[in-house]
Amino acid sequence: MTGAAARERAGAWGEAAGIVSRALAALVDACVIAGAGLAVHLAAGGVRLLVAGPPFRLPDPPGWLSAVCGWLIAVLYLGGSWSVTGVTAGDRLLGLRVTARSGRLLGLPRALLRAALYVAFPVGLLWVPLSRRRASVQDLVVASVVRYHRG
Amino acid sequence: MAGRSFANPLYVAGRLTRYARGAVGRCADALIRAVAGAVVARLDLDALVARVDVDRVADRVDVGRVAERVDVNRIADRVDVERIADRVDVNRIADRVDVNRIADRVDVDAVIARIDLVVLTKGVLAEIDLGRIVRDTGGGMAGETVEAIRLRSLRADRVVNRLADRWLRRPGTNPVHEDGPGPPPLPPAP
Repeated sequence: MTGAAARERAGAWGEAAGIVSRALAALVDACVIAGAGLAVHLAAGGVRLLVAGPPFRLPDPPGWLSAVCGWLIAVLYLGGSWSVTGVTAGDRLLGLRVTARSGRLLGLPRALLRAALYVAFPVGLLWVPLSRRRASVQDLVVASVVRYHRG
Repeated sequence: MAGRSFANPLYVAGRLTRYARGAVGRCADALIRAVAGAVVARLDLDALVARVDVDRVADRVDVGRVAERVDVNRIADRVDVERIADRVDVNRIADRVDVNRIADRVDVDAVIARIDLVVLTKGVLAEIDLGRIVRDTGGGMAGETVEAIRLRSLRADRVVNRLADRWLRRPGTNPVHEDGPGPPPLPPAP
């Protein structure tokens, strides 16, 4: 990376992030969640192997159970990441950080609520370019902000 | 003093004898030189040398004994190696060397068979620390890739923001910074 590009990035630190960065981060997080779901699925197969014996077979849960498990994994992953470090894997890759408007980390309930809103209504991200604060619908609800971060 | 007087016949006889011996010696020398010159002039040296059996002479020479008597170090001390080196035209010698012919005669397989490649490879890897190079290179490439992604997404964000601001007919906003909760309120439109 050239010096000019590095200065351009450094100059943006603290600015509210735009929709492209946030959408890319969400995409990465979706991949992480899918991987976690797959890991849970494999783990469930392993537990079943230990309990019922061979052969190894992946469980075939009903659709509603898969949906609930996936929803839980996503909410716990996103909410936990935002409340503990302020960044998910996607945020870290794109150099973003989620905080309250004051700059502090979100509390666990707010982070979980934000995560639940994102999983339930991801289209809310499209409000970012329309918002003067570059806030999504979820940001407006929980009073959070996503900024470019030097990490 | 009477003993060394010419009146003494013994003294005179001694002198005469010495004179005679000197004269005879000189005559003999002249005669020998003349005879030797005549002999040499009449000798056919080529024929004489041709009759010499050099191989037989060489067989009788004890080369080892001769070599033992040669003081090689003394000879080496007298050799001016620098001067010899200056006179050697290395480039000319190198031009005359047929490297391909030498290479054809080298049994590469035999050379490789004598090399302990495992030990050699371990030594080379330990010396150049390949793991560190791979780590540095991989880390550097990954870091540059991530920075490039961040920069491109940042620029794309700004393009989208500008388009949105233009579409909504509003001036460019001053996005939220760490030091304050958002931009100041805009003045009322006229």
